Amino acid sequence: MIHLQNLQKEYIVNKKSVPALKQIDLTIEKGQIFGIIGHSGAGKSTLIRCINLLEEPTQGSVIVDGVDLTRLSKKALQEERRHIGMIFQHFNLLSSATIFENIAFPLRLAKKDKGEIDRKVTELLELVGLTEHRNKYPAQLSGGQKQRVGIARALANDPKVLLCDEATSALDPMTTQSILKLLADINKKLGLTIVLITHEMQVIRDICDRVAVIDGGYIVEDGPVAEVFLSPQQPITKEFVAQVSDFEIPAELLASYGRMATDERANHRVVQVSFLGDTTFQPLMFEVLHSEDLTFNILHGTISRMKDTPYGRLVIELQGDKAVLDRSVELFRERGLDVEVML
Amino acid sequence: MLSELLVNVDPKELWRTFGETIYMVGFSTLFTALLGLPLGILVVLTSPGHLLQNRPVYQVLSVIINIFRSLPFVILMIMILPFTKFLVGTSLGVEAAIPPLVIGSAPFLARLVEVALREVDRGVIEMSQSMGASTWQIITRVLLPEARPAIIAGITITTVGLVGYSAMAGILGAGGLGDLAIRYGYQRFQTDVMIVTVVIIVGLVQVIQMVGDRLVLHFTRK
Ligand SMILES: Nc1ncnc2c1ncn2[C@@H]1O[C@H](COP(=O)(O)OP(=O)(O)OP(=O)(O)O)[C@@H](O)[C@H]1O
Ligand SMILES: [Mg+2]
Repeated sequence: MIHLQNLQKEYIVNKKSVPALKQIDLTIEKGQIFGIIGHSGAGKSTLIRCINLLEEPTQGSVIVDGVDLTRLSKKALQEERRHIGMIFQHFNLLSSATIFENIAFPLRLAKKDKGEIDRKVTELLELVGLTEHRNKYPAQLSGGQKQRVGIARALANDPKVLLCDEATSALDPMTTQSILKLLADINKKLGLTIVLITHEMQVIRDICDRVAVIDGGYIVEDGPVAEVFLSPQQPITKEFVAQVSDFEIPAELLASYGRMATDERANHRVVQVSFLGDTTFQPLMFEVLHSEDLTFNILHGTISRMKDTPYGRLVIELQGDKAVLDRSVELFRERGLDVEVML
Repeated sequence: MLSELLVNVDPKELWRTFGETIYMVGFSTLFTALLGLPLGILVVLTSPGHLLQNRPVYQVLSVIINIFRSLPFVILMIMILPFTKFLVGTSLGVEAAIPPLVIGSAPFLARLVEVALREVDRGVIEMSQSMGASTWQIITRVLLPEARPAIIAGITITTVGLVGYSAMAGILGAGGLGDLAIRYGYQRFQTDVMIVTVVIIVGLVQVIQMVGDRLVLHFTRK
């Protein structure tokens, strides 16, 4: 649905060029919720704004549904933008217009007739749960409600793509959850492709199918969320993953391992075992631990869900003969678990 | 009792000159708005980083506005006499006062409109662009409605200013309450005429300001 090819963007600041995006190649499939995560200043906003050409790329092409937007005339671009919805961190509602008029705004731009506008807006108000607020003004709504108006407005022209620039960053955790749920529902119901920018890994984990990590204008890593989550490759990705599963080996354990003699130390091991999908609900670990002559101690554990995929991660300390430990790790791996020896 | 105090005040004359003042202020406000609004919009749009960014146009407009704003009104009025004569066929009377009034206040209003439009959140403009709005649609459906209270406040200030200038135009025989005050109140020492005209002018300004404030309040949604 979206192809970014060799995209580059430089800003000119005081006559000097400041690179913001470098050699971005990205493909976003139809119907996906695609997350882009990065620190402040990494180039997230620049990247998403390049998708509807709010920011004109210095080089490269932006192909949305087969059309290269960088080659369009101003008029044709305006037409094409109607099919790309966008929601904003600060909502950007028209303060002088009612909720109804705000949602009707893109339809009026497209010169739709009155009856159609009325029908469509009523339907959208229903979808985002704001029917009774239709004649209020934005100043009379809460942040979460304002973002719902933003979403309804972005959907008014039945877009193919929805771009979300930090759509939940100005909202509290509860409201964030409800907005994310709404986006996920819309994605399912309408088959809409959603590109979502965030600096919170939680948002990625909760609703995204794929994720790209952007750092210093480069995409440093991208893949299915579960994969990136469970085996992050780049240091920055690991840092983001740590935001949602922050485990550090306890200092006491480190100290006691330090005091051990070499052969005793060989009989102790701390491993991190990750499982994904169906394996989450199978007693695979138990089978191994039960059949082998070793004891174990759980240090940390998470069983949760990434969008629709269940996953789990346990940090366990194993004690037993070195050969038995080696074999157990092998057995875990044979059963499809991801094992990382931490200590 | 009252008629004894106001011995020199001719109600008919007062009524006529009041009509002239309303006529001058009304039409010059209208034309000031017609000239000042587009001018203010153009200045904003052509300013650096805006929708129709255009440095030469922006700078030329800016200089013109500054020149006309810095000219004292009386001098402006005299300076453009030939132009006024060409435009309305006379350099005397109520009609002749309107061109200098408009040319004197339109740049002022343009600046106020500029300030009002700059207050419109950039995010909202960006949102409109992202929805495929044309520049014209952004002006008419976003900038003007969003800045409406501030623009109305600007027009109110300008109108109040025009009441003052229209009185000044009386010096050049433009008619109106100012003319009355100068000819009778000042030159013939008829203090009662002076006081009455001043009271009426103050009242007029009060009414204009009040109506403006009401409208601003009516259109404010924040
Ligand atoms: N209009 C601009 N002019 C000049 N430089 C800009 C402009 N917009 C962004 N930049 C620069 O480009 C880089 C990327 O900015 P961008 O806004 O894309 O970051 P971001 O990842 O969205 O950050 P944040 O999380 O803070 O929103 C930054 O170094 C920023 O200073
Ligand atoms: Mg940003």
